[in-house]
Amino acid sequence: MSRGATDVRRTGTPAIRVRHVWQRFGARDVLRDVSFDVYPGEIFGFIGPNGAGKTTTIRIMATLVEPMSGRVEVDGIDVTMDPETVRRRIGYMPDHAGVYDQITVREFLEFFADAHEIPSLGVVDAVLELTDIGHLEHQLVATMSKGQKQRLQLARILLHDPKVLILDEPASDLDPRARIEIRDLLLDLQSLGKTILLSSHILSELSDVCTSIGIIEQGQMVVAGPIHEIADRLARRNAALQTGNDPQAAALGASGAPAMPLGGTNLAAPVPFAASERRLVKLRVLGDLTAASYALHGGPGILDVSVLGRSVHVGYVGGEQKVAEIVSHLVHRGFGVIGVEEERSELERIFLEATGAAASRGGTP
Amino acid sequence: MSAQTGVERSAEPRSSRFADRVLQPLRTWRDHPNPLWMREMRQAARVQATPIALAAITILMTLLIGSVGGLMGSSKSSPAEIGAVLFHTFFSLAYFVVALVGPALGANAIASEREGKTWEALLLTGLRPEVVARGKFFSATTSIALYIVMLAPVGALPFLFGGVTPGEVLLAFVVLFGIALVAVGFGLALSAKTQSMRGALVIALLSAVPLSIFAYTLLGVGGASLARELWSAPTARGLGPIWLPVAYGAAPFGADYVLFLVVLPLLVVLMPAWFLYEVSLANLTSVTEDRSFGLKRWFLVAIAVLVALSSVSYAYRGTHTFGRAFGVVGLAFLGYATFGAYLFATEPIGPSRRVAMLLASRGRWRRALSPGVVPTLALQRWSFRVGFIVVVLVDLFCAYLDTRPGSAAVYTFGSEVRRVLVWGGYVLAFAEFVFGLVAYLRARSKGGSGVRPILLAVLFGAFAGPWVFAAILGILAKGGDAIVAAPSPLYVLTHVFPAIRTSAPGRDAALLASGTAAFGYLVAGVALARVGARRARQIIDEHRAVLADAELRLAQEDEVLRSAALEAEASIAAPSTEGVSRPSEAEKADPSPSLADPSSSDQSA
Repeated sequence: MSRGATDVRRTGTPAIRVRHVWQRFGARDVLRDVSFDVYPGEIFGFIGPNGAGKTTTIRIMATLVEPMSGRVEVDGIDVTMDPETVRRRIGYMPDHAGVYDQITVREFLEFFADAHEIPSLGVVDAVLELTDIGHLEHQLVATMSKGQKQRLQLARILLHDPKVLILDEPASDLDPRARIEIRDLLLDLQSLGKTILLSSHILSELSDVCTSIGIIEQGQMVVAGPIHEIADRLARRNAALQTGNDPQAAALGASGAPAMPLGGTNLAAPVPFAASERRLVKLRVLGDLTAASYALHGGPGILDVSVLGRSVHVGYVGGEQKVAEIVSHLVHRGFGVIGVEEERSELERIFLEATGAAASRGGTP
Repeated sequence: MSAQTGVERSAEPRSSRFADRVLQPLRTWRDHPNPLWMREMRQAARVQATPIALAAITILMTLLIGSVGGLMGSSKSSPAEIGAVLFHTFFSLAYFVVALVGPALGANAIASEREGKTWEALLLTGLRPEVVARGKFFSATTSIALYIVMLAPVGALPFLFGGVTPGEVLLAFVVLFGIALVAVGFGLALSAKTQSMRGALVIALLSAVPLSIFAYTLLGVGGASLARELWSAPTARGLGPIWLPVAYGAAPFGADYVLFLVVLPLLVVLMPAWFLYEVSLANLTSVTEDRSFGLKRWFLVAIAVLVALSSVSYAYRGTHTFGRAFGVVGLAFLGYATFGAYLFATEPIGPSRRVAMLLASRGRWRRALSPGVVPTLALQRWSFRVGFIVVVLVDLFCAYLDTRPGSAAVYTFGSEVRRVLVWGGYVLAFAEFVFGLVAYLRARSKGGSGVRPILLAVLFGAFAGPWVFAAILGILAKGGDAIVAAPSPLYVLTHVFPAIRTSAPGRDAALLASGTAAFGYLVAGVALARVGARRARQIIDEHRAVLADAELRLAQEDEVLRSAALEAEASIAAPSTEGVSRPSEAEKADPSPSLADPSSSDQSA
């Protein structure tokens, strides 16, 4: 069974807070009123096509660029006003980060440990162990594979024990095995309490690890927040648009900005458990698959059930609660459920719906 | 602690013994060296090309020196003469090796980080630009020191022939090392600005070749000539291009010795080295930080040095060359004004938010050197005016002393005053124009990238344009007075300045034309400066207004969110009453957040 990210309670001070950020290069606005929050312990997927403004936003968070206006706070500290403190609290891995080839892995980490003025000699051993590259410590960096170099980069940014990790396209150009290893490493880091923001334009990279997402297109946030909340909000909006009787949802659509004003925090009104769209879930079940499919057939919210290969595919209406009910139902009937996987990544669906909705509103975001 | 050396920092209190205090920096250097230097040395140790390059240069140098020695020997020169020639040959060649290899090594230093995409990782470690610059400087210096050490046995060969003392050879190596420091600093300054190693290397070498030849000619050949004039060839072998180490032992001690063999060589090394260091730091510092302070501090000290040297130069002028001295000083000040304008041409319009916040708590002196078009303009104008007026006063004072009754001066105090007024006034007016022009261009330019080319074009036009115009009109060909060239400072320097003491025909017209040109420059400079400063202030005010608006919006949002959070807390704290459903047993048992959980509205706080 594949590992997944642990959902995080979005309370307290956000670990990263981006508020009304504008940035312009030349005559082009590369960021337009971008706002979102990332809460402690979250893995936040920052999604957008190439040139959407992901890297600029990330570079602002990493104190490498000063925003024209707006404010970005990391762990409550303004990146513009106190970049030194922010740098001590973040670990930033840029897209295609370079390495020093002619030194060994240990020497590489020792150098960065010294540069960070880390007061403990054992920290290099600790990160080597954490990132599972201890066996490579005496190997020249030049001889490492891309995946190993990415792990080395992760080791580098962990040396000073930052609270927040900012990773720009961490899995780009990696082979499948290396991607899986990086994903598992990120989940380990989340379990250690790190807040992680990672950007990508490859949704499959993010779908397994992220607890929250932000979608950016042409410099504007399209949507941001926890995945399930966005899914429900989209479903609610779709339902409202179909019936035409929900002024709030209609207003969201008309305003052209489904992104929540402050990073997915427009949640004052409880979200009803309602979804009008058919979803598909793939269940890996022990025992008689046909019997399991009969057990589910005709249940409330279940639209169709079929057995394909070694899994049961269930079409249903509802949110994550419904999936939990389906699993619970099977378990009560004595079937062992060893895997649950959305047939189409929910993230892909959200991305298509959110960006499609934005595009249909007149060409903007 | 240093992970690279594996040495923990001592927890013991620092010893107050004098010896310990003296040795402490060395111990720190040994146990906790600059991390960049340490890493670069580790890398360099694995590069196999380094020993090959070192060996190749040493072999080539040995062959060259051997050939020169052989040729000299075949011409039946005395061993002492052979030794002296080999000395000058070796150190001249070593100078060019160092002057070309140094910039190349320095050029790789920071550009390699940028090209290798390790720069941002380095920056985010929190290493200060000073530490980065020093680390890179040390590593490049260590490499160039290796070249010098490899060349040392070849350099000692002349000593075997006689004619050169061991002290002179040793001093020559010290001077060579000083040149190496400046050469590495030059490469480093270029490297800090460029993005690619290849670009940095090409620019470094293309600049180093003419500069090294120029420096060799000026300081080596020209310096030797000056030294011969000063000390009338102290030894039988004379003073060749490598004159400085020889002069230390040969010249009689006195004011000239201190000035020409101690103060000037130190200034020649330290002022450029400091400048290059500040340029490197400025280019290593983020654009949102204060990149101006170090360079402005250097600018002020440099003008003080220029004033001092100009004043001292009056002591070395003869009565016949008196007027020329002020002409040269004026030209030097014009060059300095142009250089200053060029240096600060890409200043930011105003300080960034962070710098403005930091400056608010600093003193007036620190704020006067802050980034921005307006403070830079003020600094340039006032430092130049004060410096130049001091030089003018010193000149007039010297002229007064020179022209006292009974002196053999060939000019009068009145004529010197007129010359100073004409040339000095022109220089001041032209400098005002240059400073005003840069301020205007910078305030009108978006990123500042176009300011330097425009400035260079305008300056070229001002210096050469009037002459070209005069040539087109055929005035130069006819041998007439090129009065139309009066807008060029060169015309005033070459035609008007020497003619003031004479009553040559056309002098008054030339004076009038020069005065008019100077007045034009002054008016244009003041007007451009005003417009530029006004525009810069306007941009800063607009930006501040945008920021204030954004801050207001953020504050309003904070208030709304705070109210929402308080309401949410209140609703949680309130007992369950009508209209609020009690949580079900399942909800009580499951503490995980639900979408309907009121705490979700608290998240926004």
